Amino acid sequence: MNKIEDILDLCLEDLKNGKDLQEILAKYPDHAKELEFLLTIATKIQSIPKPEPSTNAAYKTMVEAGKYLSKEIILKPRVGLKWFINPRFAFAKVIVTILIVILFTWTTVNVSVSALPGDFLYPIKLATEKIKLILTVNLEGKAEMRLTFSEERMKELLSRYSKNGVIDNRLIIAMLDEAKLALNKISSLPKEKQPLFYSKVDHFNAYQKETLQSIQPHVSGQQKEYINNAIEICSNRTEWMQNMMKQGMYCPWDESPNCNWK
Amino acid sequence: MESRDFPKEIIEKAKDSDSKAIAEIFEHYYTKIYRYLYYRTMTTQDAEDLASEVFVKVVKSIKRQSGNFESWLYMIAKNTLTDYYRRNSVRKEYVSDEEVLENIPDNAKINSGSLTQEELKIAINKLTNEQQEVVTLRFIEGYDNRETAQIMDKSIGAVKSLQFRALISLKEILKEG
Repeated sequence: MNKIEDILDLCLEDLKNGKDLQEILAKYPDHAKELEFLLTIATKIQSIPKPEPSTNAAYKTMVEAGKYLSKEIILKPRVGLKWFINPRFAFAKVIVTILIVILFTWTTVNVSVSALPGDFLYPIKLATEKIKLILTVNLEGKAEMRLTFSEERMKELLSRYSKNGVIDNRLIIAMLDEAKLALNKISSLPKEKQPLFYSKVDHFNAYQKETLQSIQPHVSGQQKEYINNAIEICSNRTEWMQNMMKQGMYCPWDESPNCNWK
Repeated sequence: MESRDFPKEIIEKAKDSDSKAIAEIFEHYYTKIYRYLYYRTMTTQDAEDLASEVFVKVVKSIKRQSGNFESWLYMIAKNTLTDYYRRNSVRKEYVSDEEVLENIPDNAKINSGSLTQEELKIAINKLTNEQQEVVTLRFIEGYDNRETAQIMDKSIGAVKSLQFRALISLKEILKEG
């Protein structure tokens, strides 16, 4: 091992591991002079702030890619969508296409309202979630998807909190709303399928409550209030769900006079 | 290196037109590809337009993707860049020599640490295409030798050699300034 290319590479590795430049050069006195300048250049290149693409460019790319993707999804025959490629449903096809186009336009226009600070992909995430929901035909799939979205909002909430210590109440609301929408779907399922999904929502609700409780001691002021409200909603939901399960009955959503679910 | 761990199952889902998977690929690679292009194009606008072009191509052709995903992705970026050079007849001589000499940072700047993004860009543009690529991947993107070799479809030895020659060339370019 005496090729200068290899020596340079070893030195770069040492630098990456935090070793001192002079200490590294001392190991190769014959090449020290040449290596010093090369290593300095390499270090400077690495230390220059990295160029960042603009948010607008990212949106433009997402929308362009999304337009193509939406065409792909529409053209692709999949389970549960056989009706969609049937010529008799041409009108429905047009409606769904229009919805997707509107959705993409809406996403672009309202990007500043729905974007999370520093996360330029947030609108496309929401848009793709909505498209998936539109294209999911069966109710079970839609209910599952709502739960997945609720979980996503919780992950985003935790991620933002761990990054900058901020509790975003919009994400808490979205997280709770998605879980509520999942339950809405379940109430429309055949009776025999409902217990399994209610049980899933119940577990999920308990998990969300536990997560919120784990954050609660570490926040203060209005942020604590947001968390406390959310914990209270989760508690009410748990109580309601357990009551329903005990009774073996599941009241139609929003129609039960005893429904405690907020 | 986070890219090393990019899940294969997400790539498989993306091949099945899964919009969420495609959004994840975008989220993970968009900035990397932008940076790869930034130092090798004339303007920031060009880098953004090309990055957009690359991702639209990715969405259009991901179904046919096989082999190493990153190599494939960077190959699209490289081809897009080649088309761009061809379209604009610019290649790396996009600025006049006088302009380069005016803007090239000198040794003092390098040693004092005041080298800027734009100055580095101009210096990198004086390198050969392969040298540009190795500098971008190794020192700007932070890929290791193995990953760089895979992306460039070269041996690790060739990458080390290119890396050495690129830094020597940069040394000469900066001395000229």
